[in-house]
Amino acid sequence: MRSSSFVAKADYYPKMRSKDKISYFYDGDVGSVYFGPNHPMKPHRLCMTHHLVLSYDLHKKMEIYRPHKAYPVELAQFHSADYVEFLHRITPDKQHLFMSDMAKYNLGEDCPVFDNLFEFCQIYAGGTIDAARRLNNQLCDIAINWAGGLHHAKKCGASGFCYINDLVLGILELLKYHARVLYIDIDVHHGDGVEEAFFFTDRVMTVSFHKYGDRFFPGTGDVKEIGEREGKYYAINVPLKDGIDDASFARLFKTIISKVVEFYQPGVIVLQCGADSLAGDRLGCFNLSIDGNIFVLIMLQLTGHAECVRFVKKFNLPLLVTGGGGYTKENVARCWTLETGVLLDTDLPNEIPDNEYIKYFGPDCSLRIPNGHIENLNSKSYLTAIKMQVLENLRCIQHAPSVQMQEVPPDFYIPDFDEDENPDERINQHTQDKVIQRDDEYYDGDHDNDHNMNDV
Amino acid sequence: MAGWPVYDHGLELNCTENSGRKELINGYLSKSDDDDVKWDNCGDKLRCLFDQVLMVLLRGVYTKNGSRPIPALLGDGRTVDLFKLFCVVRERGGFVSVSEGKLWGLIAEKIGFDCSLCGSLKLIYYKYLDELDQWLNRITRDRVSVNGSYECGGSLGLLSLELENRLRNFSIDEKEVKKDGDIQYGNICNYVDVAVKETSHLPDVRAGIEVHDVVVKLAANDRERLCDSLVFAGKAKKNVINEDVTTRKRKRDMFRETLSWMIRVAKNPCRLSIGTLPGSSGGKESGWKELRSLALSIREARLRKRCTDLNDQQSQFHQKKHKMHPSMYEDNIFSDQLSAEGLRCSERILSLSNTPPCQCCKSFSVNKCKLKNPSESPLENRLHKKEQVNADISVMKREIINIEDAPVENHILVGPRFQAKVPLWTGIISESDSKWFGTQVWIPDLKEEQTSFSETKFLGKGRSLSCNCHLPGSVECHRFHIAENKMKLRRELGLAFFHWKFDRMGEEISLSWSLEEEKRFKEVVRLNNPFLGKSFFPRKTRMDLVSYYYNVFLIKRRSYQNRVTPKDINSDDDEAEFGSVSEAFGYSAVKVRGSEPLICLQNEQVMDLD
Repeated sequence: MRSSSFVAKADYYPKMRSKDKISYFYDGDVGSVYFGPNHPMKPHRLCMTHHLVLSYDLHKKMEIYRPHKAYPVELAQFHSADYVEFLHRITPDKQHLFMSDMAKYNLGEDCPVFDNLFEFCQIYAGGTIDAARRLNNQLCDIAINWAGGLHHAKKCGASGFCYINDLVLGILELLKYHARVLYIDIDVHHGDGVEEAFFFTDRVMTVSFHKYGDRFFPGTGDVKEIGEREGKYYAINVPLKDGIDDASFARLFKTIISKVVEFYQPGVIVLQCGADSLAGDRLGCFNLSIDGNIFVLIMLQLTGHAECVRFVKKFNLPLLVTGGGGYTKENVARCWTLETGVLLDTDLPNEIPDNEYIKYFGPDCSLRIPNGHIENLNSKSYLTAIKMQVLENLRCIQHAPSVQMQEVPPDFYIPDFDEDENPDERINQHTQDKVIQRDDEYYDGDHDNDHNMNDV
Repeated sequence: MAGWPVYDHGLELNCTENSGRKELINGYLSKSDDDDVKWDNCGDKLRCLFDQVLMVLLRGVYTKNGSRPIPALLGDGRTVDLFKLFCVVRERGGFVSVSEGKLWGLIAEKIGFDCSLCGSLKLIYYKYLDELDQWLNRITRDRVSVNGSYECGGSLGLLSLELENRLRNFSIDEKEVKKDGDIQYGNICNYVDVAVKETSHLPDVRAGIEVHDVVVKLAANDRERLCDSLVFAGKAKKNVINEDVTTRKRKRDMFRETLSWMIRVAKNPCRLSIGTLPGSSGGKESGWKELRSLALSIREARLRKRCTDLNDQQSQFHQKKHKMHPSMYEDNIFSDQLSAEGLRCSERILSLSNTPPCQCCKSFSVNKCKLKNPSESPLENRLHKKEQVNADISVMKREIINIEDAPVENHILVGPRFQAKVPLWTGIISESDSKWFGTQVWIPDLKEEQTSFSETKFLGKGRSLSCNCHLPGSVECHRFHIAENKMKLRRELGLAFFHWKFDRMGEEISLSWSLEEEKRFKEVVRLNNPFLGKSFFPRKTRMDLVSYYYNVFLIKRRSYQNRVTPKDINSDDDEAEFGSVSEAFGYSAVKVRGSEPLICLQNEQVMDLD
């Protein structure tokens, strides 16, 4: 009964695949990885996510795998052998002996050396590689590795809490079976490592939505960065300013991604779901909710972080979903759990079931978080300009001679999305308030009922 | 090496900073002893500066006493040239001495009015300019006391002294202006222009304007001044870095030291001792000489820029006591900040809080000003990255573009050390070489799946709000349901339960901790370095500590926050203050009380928590 309010949402997409085979990767060892005091990256969030996923009984709909620990030689498919070797060798006790190498590989500070560092890298990279292989062999339709998505790591060095770039490794794996791979990145930070790795190739198109400017890390990702050589026009950057809200983000995302998929016709999609683009993230600066919705005219429009996942899923292409940033642990767990549900076509009730970590989700213990209230510095004209620029670049790939378009997936499908729908005609605040109010009433009523029942 | 040609000259300037240059300038100044000043030819720049300073003052100080419309009008509607008035009056010794000497008539004549208007002029002077006059006098008076304390070096207190020093110079300059004619000013302007051009980093006009704007703002508030000097330093550094990257490829390790040295040297052009270049003795790098000279040229350029800067600020090249540039404080601030922010993830966190320069100028808080500084670290970082670049032509091209655009952001790096090797698509699927697809840990029970298919839409079951507990919603009730769910999971998952370490999860962890150890852990965390404390817990592995931290300690803190400060919840900031939870909540809470686990003791536990 309580879930009835979400039925409407699910029915909004009539063309959902009936049954996807999902492979989900998790290794219990990541929970005890510790980057060091005061470091915002807390792998324990993966443990919380997994626990929440299971609390919601989502394991009943998917297979769960323990990834193999990627071998150094696998990591060296992308990374330089010396870097991998160094990561393998270095320990916190020995790091002072290798100061120059530490500096060379950009270790320390942002990317500290800690116990089990290499094992941690092996696990998350192994997860993404395994996920890619399962997709390649059509053992599943969607593969999820929340531990992966460390998109800053460079070929010869660490960067921004990322040591091994599992995404690049996974994409390289996918490239063995697919002519074209689409990489989408909704982390608040620019996916520079992946973009850089595939800067010269048209076989991977990277699309990153991120905060850009004010020296926000990593400082790359201008809209003018479009790739070079064969890869020219195959890197798309959507630079955003502080405080972008659900509605504009969703619109921008859907417009651009639907065009990208239409033009590029990828064989497989890799989606990096960094949760630091959520409101209230410790390092992020966007206003996205996990799973929002607004009324546009009379239609319920889904927005928020999870809507990006839902939208990408609708393309019915093999999909590799990874985690990424996310520095407010409980929101990361909320977000990725809900998105696991989205990928499983399962709507999750808002009340988090009792579990060991329930207190992290207090005091209200609800799954969805509200939007943030950072001032939105993205003017409508700015967003339009960015969108136009991106679409213009996109049109160039049609004329590029090097595009290989032979491969068109059989069940290729572009969902209907009306990009011309006028954002001005969004419901006004008053109507919105009414909707919210009604929701509240609904739950209040629910509580009352329960109390009554208890009394009886 | 754009800066090379001016290097020698620069060094000379450096060395003669306090004496030589002064003489040089005095030379300029003493050329003319004309008492009669041709104010009208004095140049718009100075006038403009005066106007803006005055505006700031009027806005700031005079608002209390009613508004002062600009331009100042006499009774008959004629405007008074305040600048001229001010200069002439100060030339005669200021308001008091002019009044005492009954010189107002003379003043009126000097600035082109009838003697009869002397009363009005006096009033206007009193209303508009007296405050400025006093302010300048005050600063001049302070000079003596200020001089003594310069040696101590960099605190914020000193900074304000420094500011006063600067402003005093300003006042001195005002006096000087009276003595000099337009010729000197013109000379100086020429000199400045040359200097600016030689600096070559900033387009002269723009720099001039910027500097000028900045100065005016500075006059109002010393914090603002700090801010702007930071902006300057930042700019200089940017120049340093750009220039550096394009001209040299060096080893990285060498580089870091050198950069800091360079920044130090370049930032403090007034210091006579340049110090030794770190790493030079090691002799690892044969190119260090070049680097050194580069740094020196930057230092030189910066000195020149500073001259320009001062020139614009003070309309004069003259500087008697200027020993310390505000940017010298920058190092302190930067290190302060480092220690405050910690070393971790400096880039992300700092860059987050960065504000654009204009906001920075508006900001009145020193803290905000500090934020300007972190711009260095990404730049530095970029530099490090760029060190790696092989002699790739495209990189060079990029860099050239970088310099031209005075870039703020980074670029994707290209070259064999950056891109992945992507094989051409042949249309043939390459054989998967791997037997690794992951180990299946859990497979959903197909039978169960089918039977429950109808309800899979809502598979995820929410928290049940109804239960048969004696007191639904109580702590015991929650605990019971948590345990119930855990048992259910354990039954369902079988081995996977242990694979995922679900058995080592939750507040039960605290069962293996003694009261004593828990207390100690809390203490260690309070010291803000939890795993320094490894030695405090000889019998615990590192993993035990991490596990306790996440499963017990943070949950305890969080549950405190949930109850006591629900508006201010943060389980991710290790530095956050944590409330006082009872000494051994974890232990006593998990301990099953004899045979009565299901009896909800309403108050006791709740009291325990708080």
